[in-house]
Amino acid sequence: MPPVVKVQKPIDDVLSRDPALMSYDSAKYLFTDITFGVANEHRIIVERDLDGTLRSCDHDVRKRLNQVYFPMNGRKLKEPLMFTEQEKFNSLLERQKYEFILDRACVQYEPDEAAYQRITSITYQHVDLNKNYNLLRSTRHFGPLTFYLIWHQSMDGLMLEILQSGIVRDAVVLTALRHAIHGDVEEGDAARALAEQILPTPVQLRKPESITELDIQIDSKCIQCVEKYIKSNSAMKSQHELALQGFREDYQQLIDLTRGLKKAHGHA
Amino acid sequence: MSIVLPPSSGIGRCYAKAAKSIRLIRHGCTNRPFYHISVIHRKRPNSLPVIEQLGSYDPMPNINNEKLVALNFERLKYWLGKGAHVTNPVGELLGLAGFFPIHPRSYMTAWRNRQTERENLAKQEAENQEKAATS
Repeated sequence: MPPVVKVQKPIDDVLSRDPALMSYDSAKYLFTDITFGVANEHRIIVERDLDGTLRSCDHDVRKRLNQVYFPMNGRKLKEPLMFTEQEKFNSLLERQKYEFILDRACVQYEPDEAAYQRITSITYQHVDLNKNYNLLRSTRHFGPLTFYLIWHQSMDGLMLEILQSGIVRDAVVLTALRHAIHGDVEEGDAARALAEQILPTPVQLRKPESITELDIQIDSKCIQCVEKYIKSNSAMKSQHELALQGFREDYQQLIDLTRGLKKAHGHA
Repeated sequence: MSIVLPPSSGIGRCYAKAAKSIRLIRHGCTNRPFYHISVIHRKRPNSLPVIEQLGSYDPMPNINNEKLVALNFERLKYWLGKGAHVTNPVGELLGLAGFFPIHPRSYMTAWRNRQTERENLAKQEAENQEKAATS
């Protein structure tokens, strides 16, 4: 998963000023330390300006020189047109190539670059607006997407989608994450405890076909937890309640079916 | 199978007691200079294989008007510790990089450039005045 981090601060670190070197040359000098085994972010890269000032290079120059001397596969020295030209970027968004955009942004940019955060946030907003969560589910970008939505208090669309697809456990984990970030969920601690119980269980991507008594126990707790969340925090209450009601009816049928099957097999 | 290294990567024989020198070795083609910063025996010509390459220097400015210099400071320190001699052009680069004190020749060049600029300016002004006087 690409990390979600703060935007980097500009480097403004003057190492020495030497006015006697003014007009030594008409071009800047860039010095790169290519010592073996130094990580790109710790590499010493300095520039001698036209007025004789020796300073550490800023992030864009550092990135360019690192790419010159230690090329990264897939990263271009010049920004790809799909990121610089609004038209091309929008066309990709309209064609729903979210994974392509995000993958390429991961290669082209560092996670703390402003450009990366701008591109990803536009993409996440587009995903959220068009309810295309399933295109990013099971990719490495789903975690950052969820984090972004919760961070900006707009997770209700995702919650609705989860409830409609009938995976109530994910809804509880989402609630717990919201409580961990904002701390504004009523009885959020209960949700977190429940989430810790849920996380070791296998991931559900669709409605379960067979369940055990333990599953029923966890899921009924989850339903209660989500009900509380809908009452206290949800911004789309009626839709959420409707979706949860639908899930509840489905689940009751499933419970009846499994218990009936067990009885028929003579295990009950 | 052994890997065949190009001569610039340092396949030259190294005699422990022979004097070493760190110098620029031209590797470009006609009208396009490009230099390797290499360690080589002081009495050897630049055409022979070097002991080790320490970096590179591109004297032609790129599209952003920058000259790129790469230096392997770890190995540079090693060879300096072994008593390698540093030639003037390399000394100037190291001075600009802030690794050595600024080379006196850099100050001389800067001073001369400033002087020529001043002279050119004075000349232009004189020409302008002449033009103004005649017209």
